[in-house]
Amino acid sequence: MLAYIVRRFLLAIVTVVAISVLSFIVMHLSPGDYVTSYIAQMSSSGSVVSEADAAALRAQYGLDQPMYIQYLRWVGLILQGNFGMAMEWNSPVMEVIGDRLALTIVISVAAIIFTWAMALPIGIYSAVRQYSIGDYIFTFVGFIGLAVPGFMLALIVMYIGFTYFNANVGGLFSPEYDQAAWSLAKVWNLVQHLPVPAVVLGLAGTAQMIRIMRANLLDELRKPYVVTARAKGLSENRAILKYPVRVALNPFASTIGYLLPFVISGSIIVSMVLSLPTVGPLLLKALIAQDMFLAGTIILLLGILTVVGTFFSDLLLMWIDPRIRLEGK
Amino acid sequence: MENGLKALLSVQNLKTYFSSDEGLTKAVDGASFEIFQGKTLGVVGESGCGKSVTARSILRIVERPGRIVDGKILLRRGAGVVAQVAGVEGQGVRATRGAWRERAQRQGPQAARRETVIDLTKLDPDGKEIRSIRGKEIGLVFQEPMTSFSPVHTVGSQIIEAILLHQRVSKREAREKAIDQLRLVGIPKPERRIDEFAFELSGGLRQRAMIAMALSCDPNLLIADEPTTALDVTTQSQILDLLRHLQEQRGMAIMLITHNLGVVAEMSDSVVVMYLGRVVEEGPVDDIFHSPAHPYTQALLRSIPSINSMARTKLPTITGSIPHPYNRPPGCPFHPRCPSYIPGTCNQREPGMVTVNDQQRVSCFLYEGA
Amino acid sequence: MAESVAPIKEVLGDETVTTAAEERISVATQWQLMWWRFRKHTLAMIAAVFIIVFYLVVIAADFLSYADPSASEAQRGLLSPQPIHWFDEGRFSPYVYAMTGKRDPMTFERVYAPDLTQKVSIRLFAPGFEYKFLGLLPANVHLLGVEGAKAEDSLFLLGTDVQGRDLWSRLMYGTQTSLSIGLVSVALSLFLGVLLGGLSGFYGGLADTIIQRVIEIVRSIPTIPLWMGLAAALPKEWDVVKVYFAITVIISLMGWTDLARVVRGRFLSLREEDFVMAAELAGCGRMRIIFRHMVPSFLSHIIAATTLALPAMIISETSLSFLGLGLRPPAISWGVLLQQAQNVQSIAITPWLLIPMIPVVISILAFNFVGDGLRDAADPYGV
Repeated sequence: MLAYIVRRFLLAIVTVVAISVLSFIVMHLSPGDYVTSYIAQMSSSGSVVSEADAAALRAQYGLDQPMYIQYLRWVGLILQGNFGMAMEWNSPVMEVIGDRLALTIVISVAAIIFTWAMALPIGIYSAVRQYSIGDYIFTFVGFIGLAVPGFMLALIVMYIGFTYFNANVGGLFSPEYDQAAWSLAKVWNLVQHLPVPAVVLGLAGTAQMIRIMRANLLDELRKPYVVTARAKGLSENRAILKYPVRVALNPFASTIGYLLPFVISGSIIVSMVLSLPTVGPLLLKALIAQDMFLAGTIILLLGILTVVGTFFSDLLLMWIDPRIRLEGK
Repeated sequence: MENGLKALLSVQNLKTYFSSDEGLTKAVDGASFEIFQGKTLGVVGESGCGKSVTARSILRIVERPGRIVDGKILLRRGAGVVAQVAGVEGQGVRATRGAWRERAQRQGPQAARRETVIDLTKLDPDGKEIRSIRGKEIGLVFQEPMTSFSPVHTVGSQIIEAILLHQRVSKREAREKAIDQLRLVGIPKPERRIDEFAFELSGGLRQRAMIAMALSCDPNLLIADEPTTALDVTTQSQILDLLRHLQEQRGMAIMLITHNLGVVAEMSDSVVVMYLGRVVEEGPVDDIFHSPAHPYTQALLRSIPSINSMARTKLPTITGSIPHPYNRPPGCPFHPRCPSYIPGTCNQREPGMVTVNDQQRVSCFLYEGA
Repeated sequence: MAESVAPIKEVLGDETVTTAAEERISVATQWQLMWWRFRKHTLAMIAAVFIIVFYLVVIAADFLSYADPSASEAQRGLLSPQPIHWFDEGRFSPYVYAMTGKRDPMTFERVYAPDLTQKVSIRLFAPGFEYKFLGLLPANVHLLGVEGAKAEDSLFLLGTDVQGRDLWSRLMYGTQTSLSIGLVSVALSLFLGVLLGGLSGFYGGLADTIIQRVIEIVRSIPTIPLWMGLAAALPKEWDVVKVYFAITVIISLMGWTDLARVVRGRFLSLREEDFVMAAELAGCGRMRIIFRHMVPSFLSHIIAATTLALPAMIISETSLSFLGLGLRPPAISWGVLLQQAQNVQSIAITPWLLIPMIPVVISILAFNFVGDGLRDAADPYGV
């Protein structure tokens, strides 16, 4: 068991490093660097930066060093909690990001909870009552989630909300709470607004999960231990819920590792459409404005978030599967 | 009927068919036999002859798209079973008088109940009645113990569940009983083993645990579906000894399904030979082995390699192979491979059961009218 | 396939009993077997038809459109889809009403509205704007056209966008672009996936471990932020074609992992098979074993996995372009078309701008169904 944890932890570390490298690359892909943008900014407000000043700035920020040194310096700064400055906003990156990262986590988790809550019972039902009308209906709904990309679903939902309910279903807060400080009331307001984004975000993953659960359960239902359970005198429902479902749950649980990056990714686009104050719209703005520090940092943070989440899901898997716990044969 | 005894389980003309897009598979096509308390019935046949489906039909756990389409499965319940057997002297009854008395005592107040006979085919497969029979009056042991236990639950929890299902005891008592059961089947250190998972036990121990689970509620009948096929020979003989021992102790009946004639010879009191879903021969084990009547039985016995046979002679086999299930030959199912095939008769009509000996019956035209 | 049923041969003794059906099965090739099993999936068959139709559009996009997709005319902007009237005084003769511009007396703006006095009939195989079929043959025949007027001014089957460009025609071109990008990215992913998955599965050991870890790492990175970053970093000066290919590469870089895992899994299990060992013992070289013996065994699975990977590519391109980070105008793709429908107000007023959603959904569903059907057909243990 310990070996398993250590292995997953090491893998997580390596993944974080890989992500940091990728983020760094993204940050430096466009021509020019921090000083170039600084010069551009200064000149747009009327002042001029001389060549000598520019060179001095570059030396000061270490921008004349080879790439890998810059990378290491950047990592060093990050480990100290300094994420650099956001050009457009002229404030530290973390301030600009602010709540948004936390809110991204909140809706991602909400979406995952929705996905599981829907996919588990539907998957079980579909497997047990294969080819029934219910199975076809659920499969169909599942396919909608699969085939309609997140942003489209968001568009449709907004359209329906607007035309038929005359409501603006976007946003995570009612106007009065938007800029307010955090309080219990604000949290409750958030919860009230969560369902729509959670459903829109979660539906795509739900379809996948249903198919996975259904396929796994169908495999397990054919196995001998189910027959044993029935032969003992268990009712059909108990026999199925207690045994094959429990076993099929394992691969299902391991899918969080895949679901989390998927949901976090999807939240970017959906947030844009629904105007949610998460990291997504900010990233887009940063990219369009060529503010690479902000963009790169967001990418890095999202990546770390995902890795942490995946690591926890691995721990969860270890907890529910005795075969891993005992390093089974 | 045997020695005036009434059968514990009587299967009459059982037909279980599987219908799929590609055709109708008659897995069991008119099988009839009887099982008596305290005795072992061996059910023999090649793979695919319907032995397992018969066992599952008895417990009504045949998987879709299989269905029992005809026939009766009569189970006798109640003290009458025990009283009847207790009144009989010797002759092939493998249990002692003491065991019968103990059994009657174990069955307690229920012994005062009147004896009833119910037809298992008429019960709702998911109903309370059949569920109270499964595990409690009829236990089932499977071929592959590794996959017959849930991989994520401890062995003990599965046995305890069986106990709690049918007996009104507390959880702690159930655990004690489970440990007792494990000890009875010969598992060392049962208090520790009870909390282990199936994959942590060796093959032999797993099968013992399987037997413990099947016997945990003291069933009258134990159906063992190829219990030793997946085990090595040494473990095999240990398990068979165990089964025999338990049978003597508890006075229960055993339906032993196997394709291994050696196991049948060792364990059974009477034998049923099946081919393509039908019983082709049945009788006491000695009669079957020493004077087999049906050509199929004869061919089976001939094909057993013997240490006494001459070296370098060809091993006799049965010509041909089992027909495709969708392609059953008309008339007697064995006739395409039968050395004594009578054209015009065997491929036209199906033979009925004919008594050839005191208790030996065979389904073959060779004996009809004899 | 009509054929006479040979009589059932029933012989005694050593010969076996066979039927005509059994014989046909025993001589069928692997692909025939797959096709027969695939045929049984009605859903997959219907979906396959849709896919064929879509790719016909890809090939014949020019022919199927009737208006030059880049012909913009602000005054024609945001016209709603025109209803077609099928019968003209009892005769089957489809027509639409001409749109004429009138000055709105209140705002003095020129407004296009249907003129009920002028009927413009629709013709099949009419001449229209010039194009090059398959990029080679110059032609000007289109499926639909109008009599006596320019199609750009008269026919708006699906409405127009804000710049007055006909949506139907743009949709044809959008389909062409989106589906071909999908194909190219999937091909790239396939290449990467087979290469890395094959190395991993066939050689095992250290190569396997390393590639496995790489796959895990790639899978745990949230893809969209990374795509966005990479796409935004593309120089603005690049022309449409370059951007197109760059986007393709970016998308496939994230999609190869699934294919690699499938390939690796297949190689791993096949490596243990006796027939591989037999080939080795017979003296076959490595390459021969891989390509002649192992690959045919899992080719069908690869095809199924590839078909299932296409929808993800389509979604990626559409999402990226929707955000403005993927293909940009004047390129036309589904995502670019949908970019015009980004907020509620525009949807509420001009809902027809959402129509490009329909082919997206249908194509994704179709590929999924066909992929499922192929996977089931390729599975030797399936029902």
